[in-house]
Amino acid sequence: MENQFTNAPVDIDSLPEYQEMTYTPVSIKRMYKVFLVLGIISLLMFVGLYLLREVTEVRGLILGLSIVVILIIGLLYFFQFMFQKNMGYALREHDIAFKRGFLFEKITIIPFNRIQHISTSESMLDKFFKISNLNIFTAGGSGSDIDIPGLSPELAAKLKNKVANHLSDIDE
Amino acid sequence: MNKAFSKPQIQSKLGVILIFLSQLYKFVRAFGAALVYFLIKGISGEILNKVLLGAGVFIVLLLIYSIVAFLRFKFHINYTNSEFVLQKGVFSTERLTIPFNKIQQVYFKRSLLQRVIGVYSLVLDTAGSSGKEISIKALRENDAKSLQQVLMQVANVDSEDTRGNDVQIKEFISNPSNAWEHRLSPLTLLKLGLTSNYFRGVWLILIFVISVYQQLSDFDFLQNEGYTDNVRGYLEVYSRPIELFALTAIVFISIFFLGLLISCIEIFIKYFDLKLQQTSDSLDLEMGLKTNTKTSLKPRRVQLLRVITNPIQKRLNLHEIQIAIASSQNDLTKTKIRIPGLERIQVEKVKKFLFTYKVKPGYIFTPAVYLYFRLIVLAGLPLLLTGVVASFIVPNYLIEVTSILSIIYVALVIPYQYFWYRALSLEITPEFVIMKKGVWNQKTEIIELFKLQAVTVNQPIWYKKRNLYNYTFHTAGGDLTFPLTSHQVQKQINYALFRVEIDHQPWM
Repeated sequence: MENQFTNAPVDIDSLPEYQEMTYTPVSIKRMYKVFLVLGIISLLMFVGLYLLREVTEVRGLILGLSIVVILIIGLLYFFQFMFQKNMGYALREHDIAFKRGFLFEKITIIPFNRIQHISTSESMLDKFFKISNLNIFTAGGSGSDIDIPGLSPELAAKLKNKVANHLSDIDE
Repeated sequence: MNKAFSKPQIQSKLGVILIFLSQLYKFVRAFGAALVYFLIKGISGEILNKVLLGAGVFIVLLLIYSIVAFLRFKFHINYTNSEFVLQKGVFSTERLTIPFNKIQQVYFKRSLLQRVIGVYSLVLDTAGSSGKEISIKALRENDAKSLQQVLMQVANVDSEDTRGNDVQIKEFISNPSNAWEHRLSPLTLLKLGLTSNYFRGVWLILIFVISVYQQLSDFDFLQNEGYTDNVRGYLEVYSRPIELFALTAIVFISIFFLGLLISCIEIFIKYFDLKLQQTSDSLDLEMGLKTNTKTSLKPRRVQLLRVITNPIQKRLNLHEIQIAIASSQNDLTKTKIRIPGLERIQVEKVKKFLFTYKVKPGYIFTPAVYLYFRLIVLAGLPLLLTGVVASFIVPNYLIEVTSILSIIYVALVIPYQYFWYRALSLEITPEFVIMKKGVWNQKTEIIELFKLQAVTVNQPIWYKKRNLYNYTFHTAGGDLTFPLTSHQVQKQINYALFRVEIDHQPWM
């Protein structure tokens, strides 16, 4: 057994760099979905403001509140737009990386031989928009699990199979 | 191999008593306040009779419940499916199956009650996202031991079948002649008690003073409206410096000693008769006065190792080792195994046994100086808040006191944060990630690279220009996060990923 073991020095500079990966963006449908949810929320808020107008007598309250609501919702739309722009995944031969976040950009890299299991999931809205989430679980707890949203169901299934194949390769 | 435990069986008959008593204890604890109330208040004969009757009926019902629960609690080993099966439930039936390869640890646990009755708990620790631990609470010693043996055997055989490497590692690291044993003497326990929970005493003072102050002020407010006058008078009476100083000193010192005493007692109860023993393939740990636990640690299960000491303990050559094993929770403290009072040599022995490789020097990184600024700002926030609040509620004549306190706070925080920042370092060696931190409690956290699960690199947008990143190393026993460090670490991240990806050793 010991004969098989080699331990050549590793040239760190020649290792593949994770910084160099090109990330595939997720489907724009994810953004439409979030925009729809935001739209419904803002609609509800404006209905609430309209109803409030009937009962309140404070001057300028409705105007002030409207401005605040519009600002917040505008900011949320902007953030979601930036999220969408920054979100992406990258597959390599031995690992998968997921990048997300706008103010706090976060890249998580999971080697295939550390994936515990992998699944796809869709919520009601996802089904409506025909998108799917890919969920990758590790033994490292919620901090290292990743959920890639906004994939077409076919792509999600394909990715799932691809990663699952890698998993079985390693076991052999 | 004989098929031990292959038929469903129930626990030792003494289990009925255990279930009954522990249920009774739960109810007594829940209604304890009411009971005490009745005892103190005293009740008329008529109601007393009713209460006694109720209690009698209740106890009979509880007894029936306990018997049913006992009879329906069955366990066996299903050899054909390679799993351990447990059935339980009084009104509903719950059936738990644990595949052999998910069994992490099998160990004994005894509460005081179990010791009186003379039974053992056998606890099965499992891995995976459904991660629950399962315990069989009432087993006779022989049954418990043989079940433990059988389970450990099957769990092991199973993993060795699929993963051939395991044998090689074992031979490599454990030589029977290396076997050793370590016991904690009462003297060491005393030393530990006097030095380890150092901050507990300070903490106690704080809580104590705050609560006393609160009670006093509530009381004063209710008693008379001239509260401020009162305080002023009080301050005048006691404001002769020496008196005030002596009084404060006495209070502080006595509370400090009380805190020390409490932590000493706590440590005696927790670590009484600690015994650490290395066998050919595991590290066995036994300790505790109230609940005696026996744990058997296999090197493979270890995910994160932490060595803790403080300057006083270092001088006394006392180090604590904390070991995180694979768990589903993010919470490190729950699945952490603590071994206090080890000498430097013993720490090295434990490391040598638990780690597959030797620690070699590597690349050392320290956080950027911006971290220090951030720490200062963070520490300044409570001060700012106190300032704002104080400017509203603190009467004018106390302004001097408040500002003196603030100055003391600042004078303490600036150097403390500096030392904290200076103490922080990250080292990436060919086989390990080593992180050091802490000013008083100096912690060294060690992860074996091949046990990494994932890596997260995180960058707030405002550090983009400076090229600084936060790095998080995820393991199955908890995360290790290192803040605001140069992009140079990225190369090491690439190496870490490479190291994990070429690895075929079992990591759990």
